[in-house]
Amino acid sequence: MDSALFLDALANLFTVEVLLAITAGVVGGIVIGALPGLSGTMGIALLVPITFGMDPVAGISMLAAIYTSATYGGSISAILINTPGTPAGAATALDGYQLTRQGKGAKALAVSAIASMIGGVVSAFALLLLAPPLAQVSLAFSAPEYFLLAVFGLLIIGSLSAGSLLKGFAAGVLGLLLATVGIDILTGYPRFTFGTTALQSGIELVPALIGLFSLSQVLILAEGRDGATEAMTSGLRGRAMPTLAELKRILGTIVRSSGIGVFVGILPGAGGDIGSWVGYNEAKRFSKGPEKEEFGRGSLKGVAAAESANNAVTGGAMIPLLTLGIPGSSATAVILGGLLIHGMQPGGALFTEQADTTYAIMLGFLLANILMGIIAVAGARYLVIATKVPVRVLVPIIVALCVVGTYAVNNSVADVWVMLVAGLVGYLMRKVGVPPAPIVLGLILGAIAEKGVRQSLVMAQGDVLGYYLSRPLSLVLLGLILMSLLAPVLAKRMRRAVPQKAEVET
Amino acid sequence: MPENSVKPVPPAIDRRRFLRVGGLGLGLVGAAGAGGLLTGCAADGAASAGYPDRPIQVIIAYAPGGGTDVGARILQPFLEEELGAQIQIVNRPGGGGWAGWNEIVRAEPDGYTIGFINSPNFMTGYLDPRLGRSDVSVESFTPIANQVTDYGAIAVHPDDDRFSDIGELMAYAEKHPLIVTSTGVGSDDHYASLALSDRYKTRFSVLHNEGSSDGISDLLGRNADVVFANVGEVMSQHEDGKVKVVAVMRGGTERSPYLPDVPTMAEAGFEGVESWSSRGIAGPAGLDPKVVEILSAACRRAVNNPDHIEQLGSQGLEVDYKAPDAYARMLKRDDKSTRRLGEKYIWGPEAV
Amino acid sequence: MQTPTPTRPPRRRPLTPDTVLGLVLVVLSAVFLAATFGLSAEAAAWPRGVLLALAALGAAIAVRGRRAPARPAPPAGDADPSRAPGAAPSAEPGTDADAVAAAAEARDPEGAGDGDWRPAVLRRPAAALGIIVAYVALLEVIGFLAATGLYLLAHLWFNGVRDWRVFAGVAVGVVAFIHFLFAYELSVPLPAGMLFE
Repeated sequence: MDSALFLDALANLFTVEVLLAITAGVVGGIVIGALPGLSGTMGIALLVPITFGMDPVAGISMLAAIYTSATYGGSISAILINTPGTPAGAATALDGYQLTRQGKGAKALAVSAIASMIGGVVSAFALLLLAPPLAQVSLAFSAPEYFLLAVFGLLIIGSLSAGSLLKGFAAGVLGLLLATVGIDILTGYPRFTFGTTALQSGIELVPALIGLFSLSQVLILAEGRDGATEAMTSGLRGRAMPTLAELKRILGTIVRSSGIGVFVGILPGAGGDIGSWVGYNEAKRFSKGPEKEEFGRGSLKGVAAAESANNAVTGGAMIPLLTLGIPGSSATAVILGGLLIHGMQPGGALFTEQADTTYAIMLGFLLANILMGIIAVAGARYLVIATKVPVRVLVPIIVALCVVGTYAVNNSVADVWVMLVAGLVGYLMRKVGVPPAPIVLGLILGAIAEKGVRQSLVMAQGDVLGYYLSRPLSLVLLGLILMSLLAPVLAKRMRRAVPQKAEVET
Repeated sequence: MPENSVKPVPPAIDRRRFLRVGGLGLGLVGAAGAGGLLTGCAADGAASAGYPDRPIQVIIAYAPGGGTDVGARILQPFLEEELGAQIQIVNRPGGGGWAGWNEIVRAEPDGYTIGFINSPNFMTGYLDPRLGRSDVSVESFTPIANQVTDYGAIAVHPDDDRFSDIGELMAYAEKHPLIVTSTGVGSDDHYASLALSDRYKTRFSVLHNEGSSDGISDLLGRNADVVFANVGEVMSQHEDGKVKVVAVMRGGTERSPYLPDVPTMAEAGFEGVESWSSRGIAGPAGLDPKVVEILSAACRRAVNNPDHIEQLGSQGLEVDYKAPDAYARMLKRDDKSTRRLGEKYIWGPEAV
Repeated sequence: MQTPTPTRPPRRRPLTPDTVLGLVLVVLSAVFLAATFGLSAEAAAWPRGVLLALAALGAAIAVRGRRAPARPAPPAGDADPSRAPGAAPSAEPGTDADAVAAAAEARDPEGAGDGDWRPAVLRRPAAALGIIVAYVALLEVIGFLAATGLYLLAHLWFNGVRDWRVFAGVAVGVVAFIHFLFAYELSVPLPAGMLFE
């Protein structure tokens, strides 16, 4: 990008209309993301027709601002009330809510805001500077790689199962089973629909997620123990802003997760929900000793890892969109429609003839991320007031928002019933010590895994093993899977060699 | 034992605390409102005598942001102006579209609940006996107007040295197996590849995906050999030189206005293999002919409005208004060919 | 975690929650497996593999559940050195109340089960669920906004709220918020209810 172009782009960006649009997008996006059931994709879809009449820079920047802010917004409800506002916020709930219970909700929100901002900014720079080469990487990814990526993702269950590993994997497999419900796109057979139309398109992720996480939480709270009829936290402890030392400690995690997020983002078949899990898992893998033990019990690193990854996905997902016209996620698929209507054909022309507009949009996206970070950090202290409302008042409000949010996904009361069933199942499972997170992971990854393996059978035309081994990226992923399978065994052996404190067999 | 459970403690709620929360909620509403002000969506319903005297619900069987939804939302203001009534777009995704289509079929035939149907994609849903919808047929709908006909397009990789035009592709595919993409069993793209294999004995292994962009990604990464999609889905990549569209599956020799450099199948010498994905408006069976007439007249003016044509055209979508009888003929034709190919290749006894 | 079982005869309780969980998973797998027989081999292969894995895991959980101590303590394998110091001593045999306290303390944050299935504990969640089910059932009958308002009042009352200002504030605030955001701003058509159509 030469300086004349840069100045042109800046001039396009710094107009009142564009700045207003970005601010509205950021604020609206945070609200939409924080409400369970409403996702950025939906917000963008409903606003696309309105952008027709706007200047392209203002319109598209606003959509991009909603996309990234809604991803952050999902962490607010995940952290404060253990209800991920978007599927991408599920991993954040694991540690974020524990931090809230410890009275550190404001700090968790601030860390989430900072991590989201950095993740978004890193992805914006990747978009500005590295779009074409990264787009090529996304093309090397096909069915075999998606299958292996899903397998790699499923291994995360091992680190999610704080209790029994057996139960964690049972939950994950249950998620895989739920993912098979619906019409099989490769043969057209309806599977496990038991004669209903509602199940033919499968079990919708959002109702299941809301039921398993928030409704089950509501039922646990209804038991009225842990002094749960009072406010969830005994008040704010300490300051909202993390200290410099804390920031330093999580910076490495944020950078790693941002990289992971950008990578997952450029893959058309994987979005923010997968990015945040992979980011979370890698942060745990790279942590040692007591820091590792903290995961699942209120680790700032866990929050930072999940949130920087899912926001980095947003910029990553726009890379194949702008360079190849292939959206990297469902939200960017909707943005594609907005681009086309403004006469912006994805591809080479965006970076030559229309470069001043394109770069203005990218810079607008960068600005949106920074603005989101500032608004979110400033708001952390105030948002956390929600947890000071007594639980007996808060719970009915949460349920009402969950019901309306679930309904709004498909305008379907059937989905609300699915949510209720998922909530009851989630409650019973938590009572017997089965964590809900692996079910969600299985549900997200199951369809990708099955489609990947069956498509690669078509593509291999015979020698499947040879086909996998002939693909460089498949080999890399196979290596990663083997490594994460063997790493715990090796670590155990090393620990045995150097006797430490008593070890408990699982 | 019950002593252990903590009894709910009565009130003592801190009012100031509560008010602050209320303020927060209001703040959220305010923020959402501010977003709305900037975007300013206003649609005031002007009631006129007779039909329509209240808002009309238009059901979209797909989620917001999908192609059909965007097309409908583009049409909405034009149609509202012509009808002088408010149009409410209702998204009812699920069941491969049948959550929404069932609702159209079962609606009161008073003209206040209509919706978009996508042909031939929706036909698989009632023709395929495995899906248990034998109570529905093409007769369950009253066709009102067609909005868009997006013809099938066959695309290959521009650097493929095995074939560079449709003739070479067909000749090659007769002798060698090729991997072709589709957007799911029973989609128009699937039928398009089946129609070619059926008539010209091409050896295609079909790789099903959820959307055309997955297929294009596989083609660009050289993981698939041929993409079956629609003009609107490959136009921008073709113009950019990323993919090469070798044929448009349109009858006759008139080329697609959005791909003027690409021959039609018939032009290249391959007759009888047309394919399209059309979107149009239909109501439940038994709609009053007078209501149909009002609706189709308004649709004709709205659909043919140059601004509407241009907005859809920017996405490579060919606006193709069809009056109720012409639209009905098109649906009957789709029904017949879908039934034949589906029975032979997808759900019939000899299907693989 | 040290379990005192070896010295005492295990309590006669063949159905621990874990055994039940394991058996439920096995039965679930069997039911779904039966449902795969109408499918083509290609469509059935993956689900069958998943179901076999689920059945195997269920069986393993059931077997382990039988071997686990018959106390409502953390399930077997839930031991964790970082939390043991607080929880271990009180897990000794004692009164029911002690056991509950220990279970509550050892309860894993991510929900590693407290194994507490006494009716007194389950009564309130069941009632809460009942209120929510009634709410959803009413959605299409009396309309979204009315049902939401009624539900909020009912659940607040159930939760022990008696201050009319809270009732008014929450019911009006939430219903107005939902109306403005969903119905007005996002134009989601909320069910109006059969009574009003």
